[in-house]
Order: sequence, then C-alpha cells, then structure tokens
Amino acid sequence: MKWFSVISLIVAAAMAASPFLLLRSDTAGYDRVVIGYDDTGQAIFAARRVVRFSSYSATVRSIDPATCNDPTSAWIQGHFYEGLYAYHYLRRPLEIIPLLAADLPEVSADGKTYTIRIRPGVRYARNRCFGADSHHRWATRTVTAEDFVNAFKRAGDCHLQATDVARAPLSGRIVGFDQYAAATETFQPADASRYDLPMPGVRAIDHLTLQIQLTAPDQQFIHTLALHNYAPIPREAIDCSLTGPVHRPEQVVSTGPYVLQTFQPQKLIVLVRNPDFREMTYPRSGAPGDAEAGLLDDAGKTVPFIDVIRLDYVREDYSGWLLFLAGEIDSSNVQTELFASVVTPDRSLAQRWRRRGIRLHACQSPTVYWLEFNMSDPVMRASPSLRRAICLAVDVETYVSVLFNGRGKRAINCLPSSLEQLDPAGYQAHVLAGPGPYYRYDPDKAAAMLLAARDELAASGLLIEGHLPTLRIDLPGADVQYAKMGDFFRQQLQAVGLDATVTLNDWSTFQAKVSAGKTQMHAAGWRSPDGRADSFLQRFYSGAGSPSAAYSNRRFDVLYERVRALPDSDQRTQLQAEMTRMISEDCPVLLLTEPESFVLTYDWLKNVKPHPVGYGYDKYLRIDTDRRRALGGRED
Amino acid sequence: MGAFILQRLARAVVTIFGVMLLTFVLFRVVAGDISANYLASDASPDQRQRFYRQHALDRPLLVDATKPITSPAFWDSQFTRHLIDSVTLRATSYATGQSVGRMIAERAPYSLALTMPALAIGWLAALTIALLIAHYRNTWLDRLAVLLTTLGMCVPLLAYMIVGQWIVFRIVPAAAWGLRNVSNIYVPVAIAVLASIGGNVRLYRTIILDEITRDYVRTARAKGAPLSRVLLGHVLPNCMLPILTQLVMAIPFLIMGSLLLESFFGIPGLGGQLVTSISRRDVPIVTALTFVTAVLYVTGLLATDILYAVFDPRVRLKPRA
Amino acid sequence: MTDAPCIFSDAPPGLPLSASPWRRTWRKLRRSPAAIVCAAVIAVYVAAAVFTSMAIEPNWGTSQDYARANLPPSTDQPFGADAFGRSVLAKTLLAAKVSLTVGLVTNVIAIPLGLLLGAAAGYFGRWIDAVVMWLVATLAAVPGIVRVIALKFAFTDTVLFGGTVFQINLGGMAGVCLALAMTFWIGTCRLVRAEALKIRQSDYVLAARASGRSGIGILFTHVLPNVMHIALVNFSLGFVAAVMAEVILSYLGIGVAVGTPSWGSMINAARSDLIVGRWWELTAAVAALSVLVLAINVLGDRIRDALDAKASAP
Repeated sequence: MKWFSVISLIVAAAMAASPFLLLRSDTAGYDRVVIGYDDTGQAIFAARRVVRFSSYSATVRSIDPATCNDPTSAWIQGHFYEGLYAYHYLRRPLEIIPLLAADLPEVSADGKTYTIRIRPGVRYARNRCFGADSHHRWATRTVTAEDFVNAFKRAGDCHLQATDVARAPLSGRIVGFDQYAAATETFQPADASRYDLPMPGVRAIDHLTLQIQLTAPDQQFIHTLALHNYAPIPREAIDCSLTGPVHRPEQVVSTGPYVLQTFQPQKLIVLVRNPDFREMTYPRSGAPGDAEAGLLDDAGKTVPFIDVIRLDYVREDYSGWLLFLAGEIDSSNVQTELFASVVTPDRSLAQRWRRRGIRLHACQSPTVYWLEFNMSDPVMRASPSLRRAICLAVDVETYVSVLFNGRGKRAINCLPSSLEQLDPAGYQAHVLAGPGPYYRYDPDKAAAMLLAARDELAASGLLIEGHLPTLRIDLPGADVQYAKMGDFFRQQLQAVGLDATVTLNDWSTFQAKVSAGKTQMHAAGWRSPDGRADSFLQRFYSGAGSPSAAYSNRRFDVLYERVRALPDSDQRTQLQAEMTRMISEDCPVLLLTEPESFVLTYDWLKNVKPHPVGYGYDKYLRIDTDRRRALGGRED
Repeated sequence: MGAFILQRLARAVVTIFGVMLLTFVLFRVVAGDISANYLASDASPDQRQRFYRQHALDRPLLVDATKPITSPAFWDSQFTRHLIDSVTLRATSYATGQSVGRMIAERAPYSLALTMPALAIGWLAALTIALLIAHYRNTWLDRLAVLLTTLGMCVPLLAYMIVGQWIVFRIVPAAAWGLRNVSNIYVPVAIAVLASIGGNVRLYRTIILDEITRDYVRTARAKGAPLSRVLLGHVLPNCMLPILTQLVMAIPFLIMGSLLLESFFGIPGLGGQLVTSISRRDVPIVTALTFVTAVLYVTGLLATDILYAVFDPRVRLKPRA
Repeated sequence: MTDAPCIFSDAPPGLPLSASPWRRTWRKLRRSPAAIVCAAVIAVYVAAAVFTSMAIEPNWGTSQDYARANLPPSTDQPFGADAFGRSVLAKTLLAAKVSLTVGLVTNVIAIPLGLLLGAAAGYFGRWIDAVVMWLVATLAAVPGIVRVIALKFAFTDTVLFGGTVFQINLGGMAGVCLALAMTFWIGTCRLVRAEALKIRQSDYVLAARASGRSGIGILFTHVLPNVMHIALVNFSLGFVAAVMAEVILSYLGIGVAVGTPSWGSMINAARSDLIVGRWWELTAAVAALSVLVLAINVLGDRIRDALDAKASAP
C-alpha cells in the first residue's frame, strides 16, 4: 500500500504540473523579424521589433480575395492583399488613389473601356511557388498585368465559389465574364488549364497595361476596382496550389506590407513585416482637423512602422474588454453595456478613462441594419399592409436606446445618412427622398393597418381560424444581444396584437435557411464596401448579379439600370431619390439602425483614424513603445 | 483472464460500431442538406452537385445495392467511407480543410493542460478533506463540512466561472483570460476544482463512512489502535477500489476538455470543438471526434473492468451472472 | 406460498413485517427536520410557480418599461430591473416555473422509460438484455452535455405530429425536455437492471415462475414494485440534473425559446453586467437555482436514508 500511495502522489503531482510541459511559451515564432536583405543576400533583422497586440472576435472565414465576404476577413486580408486602387487614408470626402495601378484609369468616351497602367517594380512577398533563388531562399518577381487577369478569372471560377462581394459587381458587367464562369464548370477542380481560357472583357495588352471591357457604360466602375478582392495572383501560384480557395498561409501570394505568418482561425493570427515591400510613405495631406489631431506628424516617413501584428482570438467582447483594461491589447471595441459608463452623453470619453491614457475614436461606416421580409413567403407577399403595419409597430428609437445604449440612429430610408462624408451625391439623394412614410413609430396607425392586412390575408386564404398567423423571426446568433433583440421585437409586436416566435440560429443554420428561402423575417443589413449609394440600392435590384432574388420590382429595376450608366449629375441624384422613395413605399424591409461604433485605443497607438469603408490601413499605425512601457502595457 | 479481456474487447468493438451508426444516422440523415451551409446562397445546382461529389455525399447511404454483393463496390457507401475516415483520423473538416488528426494534435495539449491538473488536484484535495472529515465525524467540523459541500454542489459551475473571473480580474488582471503566461491556466483549474470538490468530498465521505462502520474497524479501535492509523492503514485501501474506478472512468475524457471553461477563459482546446462542429454541421469532424470519444470511453470501461478483476478477489470468485 | 409482492429484496423473505416498509419510510421522513424544511421549500417554489403563471405570466409580454431599465434593487422592485425594465423578481419566479416544468417532464419521461427497459433487460435477459445494454453503452459513449446539445440541434426545426391537435414544436422547451429525457434514462436503466438481476434469483420469483405465471405478470407484480425505490431516488437526482442541464443549455443559447424567462439565460445576460456593477440579476438567478437544488438534494438524501433497510450509522 505504501508504494501505491507514493506512486499515486507522484503521478498526481506530475499531472498538476503538466501545463508547464504541455504549453509552450507564447511568442509564436516572431522572435526575429526580417526587415530586408543586404547585397550579399543575407537577411537583416530588426534590432528591436515592435509588436502590436490586437484581437478579433469573429471567425475569419477566408484568406482568399475571391471568397472574402465579411468585414473580419476583409480586415485581415487588407494587411497583405492590395488591389488596383484604394481610398486615401485621411482625406474626406473619400478619394480614390492608385495603389497597384500607376495612375487613375483612362476611360473611353463611351464609358465602356477602362485602360489601366500597372505600377512597375511591385514585388510579391517571397513564396515557394516561385522556386528558390540563388541564396537558397524562396524567390519573387514583380507584378504584371496578367496577374490581374487571373484575379478576375478567379472571381468567376465556379470551383472557388467566389462570393457576392467579389463576383456580383462583375457578373453581367464585364464582357465574357458569365461565359467564362459557365465554361469553368466543364473543367475538373484540379485542372489549372481553365485559366488559359480567354475572358474578352479583361485583357493584358502588355506586361504593364490592363484593359477592361464593360457590357454597358458605367462611370462608377472604379469603385469596384478599389476593392482588394481583385488582388493580383501569379500564374505560378495557381499552378502550384491554388486551384481551390486559399486555406493555408503558405498559399498566400501577396504584395502587401505584411505577410501572413501564422493563421490558426480560432486561435491566433500573426502578421509579420514583408521585407520585400516597396517603398511607401505616410500621406502628406489629409482632411481638415487632421494636423491638429496629430495625424500628420509622420508625414513622409516610410511605412509600415510596426513589425509584427499579433491577433488573438477572443470570442467574447467582455473578455476583450478585460484584456484591454489590463493593457494586454492595444485597442478594443466598446461593448454596449459599458457604453454608458465609458462614453459621456456628448460622445466623448469619460474623464477617468482619459487619465489612464485611453482615447475614443468614432467609426463612421456606411451601414444599415434591417429586418428583411422574405418576399417569397406567402404571408409577406400577400399583404403589403402587414409589412407596413410591422414597420409602424416597432419603436426603433427605443430599440437603439435600450439595446445599444443610444449608439446609433434610426434609419429613415434605405440610404444611410453617413453617406454625407463619403458620397455627397448619394447623400443628396437620401435627403431628397426624405423619411419613409412607414419608417416611424405609430402604433395606432399600425393597428389600423392591421385591419387592412387582415382583409388582404383573408382574400389569399392565409388567416388561421380568423386570426392573423404567428410571425416568424430568424436571427443569426444565440448570444445575449440577439436574445435581447428577439425579445424586444416580440414585445413590440405583441403590443399591437401580433404574435411572433423568434428563433436564434447559429450562423450556418441561418445561412442555410436564408438561402433556401425558408425564413419569414430575418435580420440582415448591408455594409457598403465602397461608401456609395448605389451599393445600397443594388440590394433591392433583381436583375443579373442580384443579391436577393426574392424582392422584385420591375419599375425599380428599370430605373436602376438607367442610373448605372449615368455619371454623377443632378439627374442621377433625382433618380436615386425616386428609387429610395419606391422602397420606402413598398416596405420590403423593416429598417432598423445606422449603427455608430467606437474604438478605444491607448494613446501609445498613433495615427488612428478609422476608415469608413476600406481596409489595409493598419500599415500607417505607429506605436510609441516608451509610452507603452511607462503605462504598463505589453511588450512581447 | 485472457478470455475475459477478449470478450470485453469484442463488446467494445460492437459498442463503437453502434456509436458510429448512431452518429451517422443523426447527422447525415437527420441534418438534411448540408451544402447550404458551405455554398454561396445563389449556388447553381451544378455547384451543389460538385460539392456532393467532392465530399462523397452522392454515394448511397449504407450499401450500394446496384452492385453485386461480392464486389468491393457494393460496400462503397457513405457509411463505409465515414467508418474508414473516422478510424484513420483522416476526416477533413468541411469548413477549414484541416484533418481531424492534426486538429487533435494541435488542440489536445491545451485541453489536457486544463483537465489533468484539475483532476489531480481535485482528487487529492477531495480525498484529504474526506479523510479529515471521517476522522472528525460527528463533531461540528463534520456537520459544517457537510453543509458547505452540499451548498457548494448546488451552485452551478457557471456561477463559479463568472464570479471567479471577476475576482481574479480585480486582483491580477492579466490572469483573468487567455494563456499569456502558462500559469494563467491555473485560474480555470482552480475554478474546476472548486466546483467539483463539493460533490467529490460527499461521495468519498460516504464511501469512507461505509467502511468505517464495519466490524473490523470497531475491533481495531477496541484493540486500542488510533483512528488515524486505522483510517490510513485499513479503511483507505479498502475504499480505494470504488474511488479509483471513478477516477479511471474520468481519465478517457480528459482529452475532450471542458466546453464551458475553455470558451470562457479563451483556452484553444478540444472542448468547444465538438459543439462548434455540430453547430456548423461540419459532419466529418463531429463523427471523427465522436468516434475518438467512444474509443476512449470503452477503453475506460475496459480498464475499470480489469481493475476490478485484478484488485477485487470477490469479482474473480463470483460465478458469471 | 403467498403471491404478495415482496418489497425490498434484501429484507429476509418470509419474515412477518409489522408495518408496510413504505409507511416506515414515511414515518422516518416525518421525523426528520431537514426533510420537512426542504419539502416546505419545494412547496413554496411550486406555489410561487403556480401563482406567477396565473397572475404574472399573462401580462409578462407587455410588462416592459424602458424608462426603468437596469435599475438596482429598490423598495418597489426588490430584485431590481432587467434590461427592459421588468422586475427581476417576477422574472426569477417565472423562470422557476420553467425549471420545475423541465425537471418534472424530463423525469416523467425518463424514469418510466429507464424502469421498464432496465427491468425487462434484467429480468428477461438474453437478447432483450443485449439490445438494451448495447443501446446504453452506445449512448453513454458520448459525453453527457454533448449528447444533449447534439440532440437539441437535431430537433431544431422539427415539429412532432404536425397539423394535428397534438402538435409539439420541438424548438423550445419541449425539445429541451425530450433531449434531456433521452439522455437521462440511462442511469435509471442501469441501476434497475442490476437490481432486477438480483430479484430474478429470489425465492419469490422462482416460486412464481414454477407456478406458471407469465413473464410479464411477474415483471409487473414482483420486479417493478421492488425497484420503485430506485425510481424515487433517481427522480430527485434526475430533477436536479435536469434543472442544471437546462440552465447550461439556456446559457449556451439553445435552451427554451426566446421570450421565456429562464435562469440560464438570466445568467448569460448577466455575464457582462457584472463588470459595470449590475449584480442583481445574476445573484437572483443563482440564488434561486441554488436554493431549489439544495432543497431537492437534501430531501433526496433523506429519502435515500429513510429507504435504507439497514439503519445507517449517524
């Protein structure tokens, strides 16, 4: 018995101390960072590397530009993929500047042909698909126009299943795009020769000139080119491993300021400085007020400043907040519950947080959230009065104040007011269209409309024993915020006599239900990737490349196609306003909020200016390491 | 002994087969069309067909009745592939393309780093406290201990987690979440120990008290032996078997981690993996992980049976039921 | 040779019993102060649940008052207000109804199921035993909470007997009860089977078989009454387990439907409230849950002690 107890004690002690054996220390392989190569090909290491600590809470669904569909993936991809054009970091209203293009495109007189010169000398980050170089490292080469052709072909390749953001703007717009997409279906997934098929609408005239042919005149196409979804992809990468979507960091072939070193989707992402990045400097001019805010202090200096970006997966906002307060990460979103205690009523930071070196930044992004009515559902389709009644029954102002602590404002029509800074013409359309007649809180009118709804439904035989049917609402998550949202909607609908059941789905089930058309009302929204009114109006278009096939309004579609061909003008704005009014009248959605989001950072993180639409601006951030050490922040 | 083990092994294989069949039915048949979770909303029927072909979802479910029974093609069905993929740990996730073997290799150390110390420390602490209480039974200490442990058992783990994290955050903010320092893991370990100690102490106390009331203990005390010597020398060895059984049954599940603790404290282990995969309808991962769990479970059962057969002479002597 | 059912198989057969063992148990319980207090506590919960379902529940859907959101405890709202201004006290009591219902329904399904299958497996043996044990081992191989979650996911959009009067939507509480029941019957089944194996060898049963009674008849007259005590004890254990499991499921967001108050969703909602100093919702839910579980646990203990034929040493 004696030896048994001794052995068991030893075993127990070993088990208790096992974490020290099982868990390795955290530096995740970025101890030494290469900042360049000298003449003999030897790597030059950073003397004292600067690491930025951040976190992400949503799953990164994609590191492939063609399948990038959500803000988190886009944010991560923006660090290493670059597109032809981009938005200027500081200037407002938004201005498009060339990024991988040499200058702005030449548009032909009929608006159908875009000729773009590529910037010479842009090198990819070293990758195994280029083979080895003379110093036994992976080689690299410069970007050519053919690489962009590959990018557009990938957006149409059916084996990659490119998503809305990448494919929808091209479908039906670029000559030969849809035919190419159809042709790729006949190829095997692993057969890269499908990229040898020509796409007439995108051609490389020579190594550094790209030409795009559109099916219809489109003066706004440059906004599509400002997405990084069309980052260049070299043919060597496709032959080597990219006949399917990018899954592993080794497959990423990119030109951006950072290289994806570690990618463990629900654990850790590490981005390391790209030693082959071209020379790029901090902008020398910005919007009014930037100089006073210190945003131009680094004008002209070489970017990126930060060597390593380490992103830990923190699933809950609450834990992220704890980490931020402990100084473990450099920035954080402001949680709803904390909002009232962190931010004063006039939207500035409460004093006790300022004293700890914390700063508040408002993020304006052109986003509208709504509750979408599935028009293929018989009840929703049969009764416009029911839809209008629902819109009148929900008190969105209280929704904002109770659920979001007042962070955001009610959307009055399908164009957000945040367009003011981004698309002045679109903003004009928003103002001209005015508040929708049903996008306000009027429970008495709602009750009255319900009588009309009852008649409409009775005529279609959809009443259940003389009562209005129970409505179904589907939400895309099961966490507290969605539970509260669902509860709120039920309360509001019950107050006018409507019964509703709310289902909290996980993301996959929600997607499946929406794409199968099995929902009645579901939460949706749109965050515009280019800050233009057109992208919001496109959500209601039912023609080619349309995102939502359920809502279809012939008059709306006709106007949309007309507007697309026009350059910015008064007439265009008038037409946009009319389209907006149509949507407000028809109520295919229950408009909810234009959210207001805030970011808190410590003041050792410099040059912070949240960009409303674009990604890839983290290269401009700088860290004052002395200040960080003085305030007790994390160094390693 | 050999026949005994063989019989148990055979039963284990049948159980595992049962688990595979059950998970297969539950997830392939009941879950319906999985492609909607992984394809874009406007995917064409051709794309769906390709998805099915790529993941062998167009094969018949159990057996291919169109082929003759003697040819291997008869058995080329979804269930067979599912069996083979799970056994070889080659199943790859629909969502990330990673193989389940690699996923386990990556995440298991984190789960083990949480569950192993929790088991060891919890067990030692509970046993020590139970012995102490048995020593002082019928005193106020005993009653207080019973009260505390009963109360402790009734508070849900959730409460321990939330309040525990809040307290740690007040004292050592950097340790409240994540694994920045390896020693951060002892926070969820401590919470796990706290939450389980009540139940364990009560259980061990019952077992020990059952032994203490036996005649031989009374005899030993009457002969003048101090209670502590009797406890450690005679009672404890006799109680070891049920206590060890419970412990051995817990060991196979160590690798699966703890769903709640891992997600709350940001430990990237296997705990949440199964539930995440279920919610994502990532069928290969779900079935492969269930297979692994089933194997571990029957291993645990086998180990317990062997333990009893070796250490409890009554089992060996008892005729087969 | 009497055909009377022999209660408690380890009591020596044939001895005259002065009073029915059930009555003996009842008397022991009546004398235990702890048991009385716990029974009273449970009765209070049940009464509160009934009261709230009659008085408060009809108005619950419209009781929100956004101006009073998140107020701390005060004289007219002793437990404070939740995010929508509703009284946390009322919410806690309504959630008690949910928990009690889940505990009851789950065990009403699980215990008889476990009893029948276990008794049949233990008594009849052979292939029935093999099938039942195979089923038990298969289900037990998957860890508990995962089993429940998997079943709940499988039930997400199922509707049983759709279109008829008996329509049950498995998305909410019914699904929770069913999923929990389908995992809890195993414990009872195992214990009952072990006991049934012992009963099969007892003199009474052998005599009954010799006198030509059918297997089913013996099952119902001799086996089942003698395993009832296991059912009773497991009912209390299972009740607690069901309540705790429902809390975890609601915490994870896959429990009862949105809009139905539940202690689990209260705890979930209160998680991030703690850091802004809003402690009342969390405390109310945890306290209510713990007291109920404590009462049931202690009562279960006392019942087990009272049922024990051997007097247990204090």
